[in-house]
Amino acid sequence: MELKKEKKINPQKYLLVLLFTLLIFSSGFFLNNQFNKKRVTDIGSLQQDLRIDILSLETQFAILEQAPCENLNESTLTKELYEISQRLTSVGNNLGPEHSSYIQLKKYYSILEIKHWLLLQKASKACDLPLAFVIYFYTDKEACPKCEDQGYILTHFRKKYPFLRVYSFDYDLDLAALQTLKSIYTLKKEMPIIVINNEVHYGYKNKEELEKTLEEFIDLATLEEEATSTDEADIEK
Amino acid sequence: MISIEILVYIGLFWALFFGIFIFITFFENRKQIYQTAKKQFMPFVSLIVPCFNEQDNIEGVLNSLLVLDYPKEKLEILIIDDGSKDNTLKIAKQFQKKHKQIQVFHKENGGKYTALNLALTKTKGEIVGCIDADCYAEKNALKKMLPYFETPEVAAVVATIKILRPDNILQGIQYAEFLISAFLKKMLSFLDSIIVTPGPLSLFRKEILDIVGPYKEGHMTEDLEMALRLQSKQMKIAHSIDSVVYTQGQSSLKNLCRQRLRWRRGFLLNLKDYPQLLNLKKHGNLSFLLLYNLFGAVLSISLTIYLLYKLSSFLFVKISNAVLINFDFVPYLAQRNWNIPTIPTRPSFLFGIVGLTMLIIFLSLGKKLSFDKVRIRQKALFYIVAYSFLNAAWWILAGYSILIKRKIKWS
Repeated sequence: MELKKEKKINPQKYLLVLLFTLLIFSSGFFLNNQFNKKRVTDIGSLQQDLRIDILSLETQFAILEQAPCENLNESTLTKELYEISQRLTSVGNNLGPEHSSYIQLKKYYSILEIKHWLLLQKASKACDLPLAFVIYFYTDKEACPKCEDQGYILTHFRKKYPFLRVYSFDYDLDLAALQTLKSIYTLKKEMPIIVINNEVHYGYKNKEELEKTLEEFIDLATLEEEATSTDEADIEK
Repeated sequence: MISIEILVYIGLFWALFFGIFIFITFFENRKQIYQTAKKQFMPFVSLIVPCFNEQDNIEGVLNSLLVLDYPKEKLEILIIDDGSKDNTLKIAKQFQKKHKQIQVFHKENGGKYTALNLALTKTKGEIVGCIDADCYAEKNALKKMLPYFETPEVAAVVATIKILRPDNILQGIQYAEFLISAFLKKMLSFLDSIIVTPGPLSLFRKEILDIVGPYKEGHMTEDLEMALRLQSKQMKIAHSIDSVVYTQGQSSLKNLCRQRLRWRRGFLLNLKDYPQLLNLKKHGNLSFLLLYNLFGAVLSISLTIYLLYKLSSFLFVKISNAVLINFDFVPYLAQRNWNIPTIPTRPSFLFGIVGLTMLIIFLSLGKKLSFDKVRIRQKALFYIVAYSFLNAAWWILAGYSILIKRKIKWS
């Protein structure tokens, strides 16, 4: 039996391992950088889409002045609005709520929402569309811890009642159009704020309370019936 | 939050470094995985089977030893009954009557290491082996282990341990764990860094045991203590990856936790008894890997706690949202336009994928090199999901039991 000699470390091997590890690590960060670049392009394209949609809504407005209601493509516009909202949320998650690009996109989006709301209000009267409108004001988490929950419940109702159009706005966003909207309803800063068919409600409402309030101001049953019959008519067409 | 992120990256770097270290070791030694006998090496072998209340298992182990592919006149089997209260002794004596190779000894109960030490005074073999009573050796296990002793520096040879009939999920997790461990142990043998001569099957040169002395209690991990003692005396431990011994996997979480707590506690306490092993100048790769393992355990605990925190806060948000809408999911189901979740592209996610791939390659190599034929696809998945949490929990429990000096039971 022979004993081993002292076991020496092979520095070259350790260096090689370190080199490979660093290589994989730096490639990871490089790839991340590339994805970030792509994200910046995505933000640019989102901004472009927002501009186009705003223009598109303005054009629809003009058409509505001239042409009959049949040409109004409401469902596509609303779908697009919600899709943009999802993209905006994902940009917000990536950049953080304070990022200047995100705030700018939010401003664009708020203008788009206001235009959408104005168009649909007019169209629903002119063309007798079975729609109901909810405007929701929120602010950051520290000032309004319940705002996130309120937003979630409203999204739920938006999904539950397809005739419901929900527009959400950051109360503190520095945007002239939003200031005008706030002054129309002479809002106090008591968050969260929900405006249901032009009636202002302050404070958090849970699912039951909100559903009850919605029922008070909106004839949910009739609207649901009308919305369903319109849908069926669309399918038949 | 930034400091946690830094810790995550240190942990990932740590794991990647180890993985690459093992891969390079594999490429360096890929042609020396197996050892074949250069000459006819047929020493006299004594196999010791320590038993305590093993009436249900003893027949199995003895039957597997009696059919070992090795000349009968060169193999003796010593059964040491360590004061069993069941029929172990009776069954052992029945075997003794039928087979001349078998000798049975009985003693007062004193723990596994005392049974092994009694046997060491009775053995005649040039090579001495220990096999746990709840294990089954493959027919060719001994023949494949012995050629390693042709290398004069080799003091001990350890076998590959596999789980016998991995029926439930927990045994499946252990099966996958043991396959990865088989591959890692082979690589560690090239780095002279094996730190356990496991009870299921290990062979020793008798002259070495005469030099280093008998088994010690070793904080209830006598197999770990013996290996560390051999390492501290610069002796070489080899691993024969294609010599397989099957052991009964722990079938309940409680027993598994108790066993792993004992192992990890034993590792920490025995290392405390052999601090010289951490001397990089003297013990090279072994010291590096021991230090690496210790720091790795601390990192794994912190990262697992962080991961658990993230997971539970995610679940908390989801559950609170569900409560907000009174679990009314109908509108969501009706919509049917599911969004494809965006794949996170943070570096930590990418490194996690690399680490996971490495683990799967280790598992496949362990399977391939030990000629494993059991299908373990789903079981491997459970291993990947559950093991990091269990491992961190065992380290925490081991550290805690040392701190409060709690006595533990043999599992």
